[in-house]
Amino acid sequence: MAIAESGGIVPLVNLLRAGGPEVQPEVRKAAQETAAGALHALARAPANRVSIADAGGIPLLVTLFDIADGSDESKEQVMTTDDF
Amino acid sequence: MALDCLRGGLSLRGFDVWLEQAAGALLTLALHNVPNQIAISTELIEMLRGYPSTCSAKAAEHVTQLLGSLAQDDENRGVIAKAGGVPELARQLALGSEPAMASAASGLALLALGSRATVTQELVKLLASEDEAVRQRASSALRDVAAGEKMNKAQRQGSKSNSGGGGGCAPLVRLLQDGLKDGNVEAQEYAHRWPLMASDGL
Repeated sequence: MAIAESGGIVPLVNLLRAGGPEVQPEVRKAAQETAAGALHALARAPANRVSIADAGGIPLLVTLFDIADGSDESKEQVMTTDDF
Repeated sequence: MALDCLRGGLSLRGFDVWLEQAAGALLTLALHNVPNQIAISTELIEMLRGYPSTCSAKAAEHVTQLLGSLAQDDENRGVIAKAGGVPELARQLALGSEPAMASAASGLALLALGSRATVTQELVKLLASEDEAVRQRASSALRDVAAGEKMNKAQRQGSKSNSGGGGGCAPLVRLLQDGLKDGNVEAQEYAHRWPLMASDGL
């Protein structure tokens, strides 16, 4: 709860976007995994479910499914998520 | 880390390890939160609609599995159906990868507990497919729907159970299976008759 009360949800959601094209794919993937894990834990509190959704977390979490298979097509979509 | 999580056995088995967190987050965000249930179902189904042009086979596999996991919670079933999940899962049953087909079949069987007529109509449409494998999968999914319905009824009626001859989907499934063995004629004919019969049954 302390993370949420300290305004941590928005930065965590932003971490799902994980930087610009200069960021290494491995770094990006690690950041996204960490952010998703933290959001998973935070979502156990009902109030945080609203905050995560308000911060735009849902479409970003869904987008991870399309960038996770490592295909060239998906790598392009990693770049696209930077534009969110 | 445990792959089975959340209440009531919502399952994340089969997800890549790094996607497990994203899937877990989405499943948790959907708990007792209708706006989130709608947003998540809508986003996932929108992604599936892009298959195979903008949504990769692997992504469709994951999304189909996640919809199946969401459908394990009865709170999500109506939302998924309203968001257009039934035809998309039926499409994965027909065109998706093997794991996507399996997830789609179990997801449809769960959705049928809340929207039997819609699910059955989509499955019956698939019985008219020219692809034998698709017809077999649709037939198998219909059998699951019938079994789910039967279990549901038995739960509602307690020990009284189904003494009245089955009703519902069971005769349909037998007819369809026989139809397939006989060259699919009856199955196709049934596709035209089912909507009327389904609405009678509901």
